[in-house]
Amino acid sequence: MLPRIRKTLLALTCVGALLGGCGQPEPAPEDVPHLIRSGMSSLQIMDFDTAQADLATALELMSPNDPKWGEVTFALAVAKWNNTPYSATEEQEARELMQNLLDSDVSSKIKNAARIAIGRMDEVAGEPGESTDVPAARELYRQVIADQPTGEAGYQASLRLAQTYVQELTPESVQKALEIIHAQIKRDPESPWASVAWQYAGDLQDEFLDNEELALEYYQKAEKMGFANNSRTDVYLWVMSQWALDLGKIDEAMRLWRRIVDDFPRSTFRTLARDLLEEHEDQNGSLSLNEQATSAKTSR
Amino acid sequence: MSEETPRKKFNWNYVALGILIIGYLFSAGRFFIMSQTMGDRASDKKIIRVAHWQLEPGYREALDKAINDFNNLPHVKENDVEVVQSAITERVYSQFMNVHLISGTAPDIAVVGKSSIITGNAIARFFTPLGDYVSEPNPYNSREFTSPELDPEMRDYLATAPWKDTFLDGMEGGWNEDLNDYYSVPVSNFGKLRLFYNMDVLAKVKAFILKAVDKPQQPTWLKQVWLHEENGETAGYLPDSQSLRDWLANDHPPETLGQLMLYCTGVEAYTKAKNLEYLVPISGSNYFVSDLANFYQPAFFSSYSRKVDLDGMPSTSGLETVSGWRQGIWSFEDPALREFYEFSQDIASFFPVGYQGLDREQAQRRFVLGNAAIISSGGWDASGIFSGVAHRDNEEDRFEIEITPAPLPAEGERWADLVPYRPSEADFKAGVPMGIYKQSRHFEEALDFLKFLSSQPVNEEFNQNAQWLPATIAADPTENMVPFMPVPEGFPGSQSLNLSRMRATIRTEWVSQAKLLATHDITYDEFVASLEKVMNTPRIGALGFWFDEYESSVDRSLALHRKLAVETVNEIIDDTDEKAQARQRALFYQGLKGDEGIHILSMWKKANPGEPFPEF
Repeated sequence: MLPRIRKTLLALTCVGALLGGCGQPEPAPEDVPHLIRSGMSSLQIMDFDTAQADLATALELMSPNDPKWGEVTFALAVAKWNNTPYSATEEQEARELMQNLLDSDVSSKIKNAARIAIGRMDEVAGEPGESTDVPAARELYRQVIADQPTGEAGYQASLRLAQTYVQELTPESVQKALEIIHAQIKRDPESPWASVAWQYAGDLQDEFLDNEELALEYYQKAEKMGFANNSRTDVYLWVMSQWALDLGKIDEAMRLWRRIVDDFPRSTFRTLARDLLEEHEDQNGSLSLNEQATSAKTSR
Repeated sequence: MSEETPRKKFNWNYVALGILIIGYLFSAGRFFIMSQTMGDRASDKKIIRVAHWQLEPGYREALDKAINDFNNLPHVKENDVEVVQSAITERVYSQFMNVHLISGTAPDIAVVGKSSIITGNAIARFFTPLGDYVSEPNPYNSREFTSPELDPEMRDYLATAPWKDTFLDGMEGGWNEDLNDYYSVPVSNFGKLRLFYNMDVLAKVKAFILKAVDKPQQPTWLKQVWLHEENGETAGYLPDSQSLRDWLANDHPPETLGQLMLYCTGVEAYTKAKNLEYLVPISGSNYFVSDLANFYQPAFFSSYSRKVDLDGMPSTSGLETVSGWRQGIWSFEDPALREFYEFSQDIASFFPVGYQGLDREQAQRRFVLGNAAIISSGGWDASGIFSGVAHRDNEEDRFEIEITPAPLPAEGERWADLVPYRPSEADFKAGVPMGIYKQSRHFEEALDFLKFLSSQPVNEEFNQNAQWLPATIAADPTENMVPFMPVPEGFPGSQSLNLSRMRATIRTEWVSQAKLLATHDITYDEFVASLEKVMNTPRIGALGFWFDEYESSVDRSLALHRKLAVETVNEIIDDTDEKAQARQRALFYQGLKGDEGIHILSMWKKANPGEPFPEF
């Protein structure tokens, strides 16, 4: 009886396998929009494996003349490049896809994004011990700046280029980074990206060059435009107030404390700012009273 | 002799096969019956399951009431929707969620957290982003649902404001920093640490202390409380004064730290005088929040924040703390540290003997039974404590409870210069964040329920019934819960030597040795020696911390880079989305600051000029 059971089970397994195999139809060109949507939503949640599978299938069915070809190629390259754990093979595939974009007729916006991406691959080691090519990265960033001196691409490339010099950790290299940043701001002072550049320049002045005066000045410019990381504005204002205090710029410190008190009811710095403000207002108050008394005496 | 036919040998495999088949049929039958009776197939009903681990008394009942109200709404009935809750004990919540999230059978709504697989970016794999819905007004906040007794301006605001702006914390409790989106809806507030006083004990002990104070020859225990010098060092807690005597004559709990220490000392003396074997001043346990000293620690260590700063930001990291010690900016011999550990020993002396072997429930029970004058805990324990006391069998055993924030030392009291502020609670985040499972077949209905639960009228009633703090603006808590409302007054608690973000080897040693020190099992010198030994051991100590922090920083930088790459794709697809552009700029700036760990190398250079960066 047992051999009979075995045979039956085998037959059932085969039928099951056949039925299971019949369930997946080959994707057709009309599936492309769905595959792109699905791949992009997987990318949003950083499910790079699924994103890769969908976008690669979509790309196979698309012609390079398709208006979405550039976007899909870039998205697929991003999914391969960022997949975890890191794989040198996937990074190489991503690099090739980015290179395809540079060799194609896609918009200059996509091309510049691809250049910056390849620059990052050159500059940053995917895993410890992997070799990097900073000069090649700098060259790509410079190409972007030459192609798009203003706007988002110009700023991103300039800031990335500056960062490669900061990494050398010498005062001279940080100065060189600051020159690059200032040149970019000069080219496009009104861009919202200027706020990022001013704030980063302020950080470099404080952290690497110990120059609180210039750090405060650059942060003031970023404050005027609105900090990029808006939700931390109260923290930045507090940092600025400490610099102002160190520099003896009491009026500026008081302005910053007043902003924290007035504009940030949920800030944990509010009590400290309020107390410091009151303390300095009292001092200024008594100072002006003394001044009045002195002038009254003199006039007498 | 007749020829016997050979007896066929019995094949035991048939038994095994039979058991297997019976087992399979039983299991399949059970599964079928359960899916018919408990699952969605019982009828065409859309069942929305809500999983959480809030088993504190009253929470489930309150949620049941809210669920019933929702289930009875005309449109919910019409659509044949039914919400049910699954309250799961905290101990197995993580395993339960892990299994069901992976197998695709998780509840439609679940409190996000606890599970190790739903942290960071992984939340996005299992829960639906809600960013597209939070900018629209919550329909259950419309004038049709809110009370006419509410301030008319508030009613208008609630009716028109984006859903996220109707939360006390601006819905920050549902915001995921890593993913730049809202992934859950917070529905309750925990409330921070507060002191619960047994007012019966308070009245008796204060009268006892007042009597002792008025004596011409004050008892020794009281003399020890007055601020004085002992062997050239400060001892005691506060000076005798008229304001103190006035406080002793009224029925208020301690208003200053000095009064709290006097009160606890008084409880001990009263216990001895009255032979009350079980009464202790504070119901301490191994539960972190029941050790009051932990609350004061950030304030004691706050003066170092700017001195140890290496990254230009006001919050103090664990690395900056250890680096400050290595640079000699602070030492264990500093008055702030010595005074804090003396304070923690004094506080521990008010706990029951062997308190480190007691857990949270045991501490709560002691207080409820009237055997402790004080317990420190958060709003989440309030309903348990209140209902425990209210349900004591004998009416005479029940007592009044008063709740206050932990007091600060007044001017002239000990530690006044070291503890000028308490940590501010201004940036509190609402809790019990409920997310919608990505594979839920009833997303719209689940979202509808969360809107209902977080609307002003429902959230108020729900949290009042649960005896928790509401998460929605204009939703009033019960009178009992008012003392748990966030106190914004204070300093940023992150501006202090940071033990919580210390690497595990140092933190574990620090925490365990501090416990032994608090109970006088080791001396202060032994405490310092054990810590310095760990901090000086290269791989597990300060140098290893730099190395590990560099590696973590590189990892964090790569994770940030992934987010930025995705934002770049978004920007390429649609360059008119201003919010996405702003997000991209914010991420880009964070990336510049993180800089693949370069800032750690720069901090090292600043703190240790000329020394090579440690490699392991």
